[in-house]
Amino acid sequence: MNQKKVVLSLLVLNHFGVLTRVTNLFSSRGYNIISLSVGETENPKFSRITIVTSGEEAIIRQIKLQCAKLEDVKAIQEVKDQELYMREVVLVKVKVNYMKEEDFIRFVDANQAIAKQIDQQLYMVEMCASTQSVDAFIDKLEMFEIVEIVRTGGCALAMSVGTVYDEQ
Amino acid sequence: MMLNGSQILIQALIDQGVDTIFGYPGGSVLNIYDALYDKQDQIKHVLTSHEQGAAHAADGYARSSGKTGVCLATSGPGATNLVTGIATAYMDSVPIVAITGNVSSDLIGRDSFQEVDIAGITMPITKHNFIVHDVKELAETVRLAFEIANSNRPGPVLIDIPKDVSAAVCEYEALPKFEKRPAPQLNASDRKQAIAAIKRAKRPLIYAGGGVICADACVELLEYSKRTQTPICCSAMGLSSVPYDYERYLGMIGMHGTPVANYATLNADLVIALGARFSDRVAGNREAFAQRATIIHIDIDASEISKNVPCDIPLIGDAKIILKQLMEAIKEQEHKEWCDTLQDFKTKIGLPKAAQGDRVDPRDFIYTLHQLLGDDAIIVTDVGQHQMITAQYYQFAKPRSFISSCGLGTMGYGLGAAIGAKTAHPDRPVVLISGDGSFHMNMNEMACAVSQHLGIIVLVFNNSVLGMVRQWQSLFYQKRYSQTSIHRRTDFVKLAEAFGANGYRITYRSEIDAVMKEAIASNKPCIIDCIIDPDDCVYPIIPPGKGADDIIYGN
Repeated sequence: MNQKKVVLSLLVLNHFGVLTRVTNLFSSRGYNIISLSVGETENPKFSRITIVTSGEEAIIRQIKLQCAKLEDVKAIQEVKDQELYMREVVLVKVKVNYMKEEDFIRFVDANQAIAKQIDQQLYMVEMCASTQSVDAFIDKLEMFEIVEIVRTGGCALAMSVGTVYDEQ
Repeated sequence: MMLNGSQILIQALIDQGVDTIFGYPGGSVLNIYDALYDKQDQIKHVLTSHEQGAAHAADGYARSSGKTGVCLATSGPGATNLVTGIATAYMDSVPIVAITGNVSSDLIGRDSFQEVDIAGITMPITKHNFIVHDVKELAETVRLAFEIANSNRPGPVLIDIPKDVSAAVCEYEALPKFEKRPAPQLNASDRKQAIAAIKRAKRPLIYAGGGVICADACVELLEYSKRTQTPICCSAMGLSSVPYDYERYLGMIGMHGTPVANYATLNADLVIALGARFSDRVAGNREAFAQRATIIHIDIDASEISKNVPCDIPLIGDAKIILKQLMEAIKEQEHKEWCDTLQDFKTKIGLPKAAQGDRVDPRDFIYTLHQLLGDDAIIVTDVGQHQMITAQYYQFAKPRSFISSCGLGTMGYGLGAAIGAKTAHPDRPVVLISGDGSFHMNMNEMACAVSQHLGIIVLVFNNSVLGMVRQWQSLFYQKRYSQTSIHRRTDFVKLAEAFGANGYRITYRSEIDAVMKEAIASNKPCIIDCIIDPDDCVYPIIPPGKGADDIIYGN
């Protein structure tokens, strides 16, 4: 069957336990989470959870309907591919050989990333971009020595006039 | 009025219309029990033997009455003992509000004595749960819990109250009784499509589930069926929604359903699922279920649509209202040929006949039980062969007269549930039909039945084996009877007497009448130990994962 990758944006009440309720639902019903991010909104009453998930059409429908039943979930928006504006942040600690230092700085600039020196030969690199660009950036960073990586899940909004509040 | 959290809780329960709670005291609910002491004239507290019994009692109370069941337990083990009961209610969409005490806020997270994260534990088995951190939120939380438990598809809600919150004082203002949230409005184009499909249908079938009873739509269901000559079959949860003697009632559908109900699913060109969820016990093979039929699914829970079996026309909303709307558009229909075909099939292939001889066969015992008990009786079951034979053969006359753990299949559910049902309906006969396996699990609640003077008749079909599991070992595991020949030496007659109840034994068919009549007349709690054949199997059976074509009729 056709697996479909979908970005869901949930408007939820901003109190503790809400994230657990949402992730519990995914694990107890066997739904897939590719990435997830959460944070407060313009209204401190609400948080937004961005979940990237995948499944057959029927499963995606189920995910949305099951999430909608949670008392703390106030609205669910499926952000369509053509309107998707998604960004994630990656931090990479990189060891850079003296010989390659100039290449490294040029590479970072070319990719619109930022590098800060931590120690001799050791840099913190940060980048905020689409998931694909972050993937590609990390691939290319392999030419230096990656010490550790941390990346956030994507957070997304629709590039459209409509908002999640329309789904309430 | 300044009240402490416990007084607020009790007063808020009274304000929400509660007059009965089932519970068990303990350290973290001492404050609450202290407040209850002052309100004994307004709230009846039923002290069970075990918190699991309290949760099942709240469930049985709710299922038999349509009201919200309330149970109360202390923190830690008290709270975890409720878990099976809450999960049972969740699976069968029963509105209960479970209240647990917890250790004081300053002790939470320190692995304190009798501390457990009950909100975390019950998250997947409640519609919603609350931890009350501030006494000012308590009254509103109680009202909201009742609103959530009863709105749309009902279910359990848990409120966890730390001990310091039940002691803290604040101003109390009475809140109005909860109101159910409005049901979703039916989509007009879906309705049009459904009406067209119904008008087209030559061989329609209604598959009714527990939602019909929740929605109080049994009268409309019967009227719709009569007007449109549409036969009805029920899931186990739907049993008692249709009177047994209705001519177009086909009985239970699914794994142990009647041959005719399952035959009808194979041949129907339209299936109207009404408050039902196509569980694996109904649609063992999801792809094969009602393949020739257009499926109209009427449900208040949108997430049930196409969850298990793809639906052609969803009607999301309240079953009672939707049935009325359909009847406005469809006056009368005739499906004589289809009804005759089913009638003919029913007379040729029915449920298995009871065995002859002087030994008891539970089939004709249960079939004739209705005549002894009357239309008013509430039949509660545990889980296993006795449950399925009751579902197949008992003649249910009124909605909410069959109380059984159908979704979770909780052995040990019955006695607690019977206590709840009898508490709600002291003047109606309440009979628990159980098996020796199930009854052994929670028979401690006999102590509660006796001390509460609840004249429950416990009919134990005793075959000395775990019949249903053993049956599967017979059919699917080459008769390798691993741990199902339990051979307890429990003397149920003496056991009954030890609890202060009456005990009877039925070994031969000829003894049934006299024992039952005496048990009914005494109106005292009693246990009837009824000896039956350990090798008896429940037929027909559609093996797990299979469709109605694969039905095994048995002997």
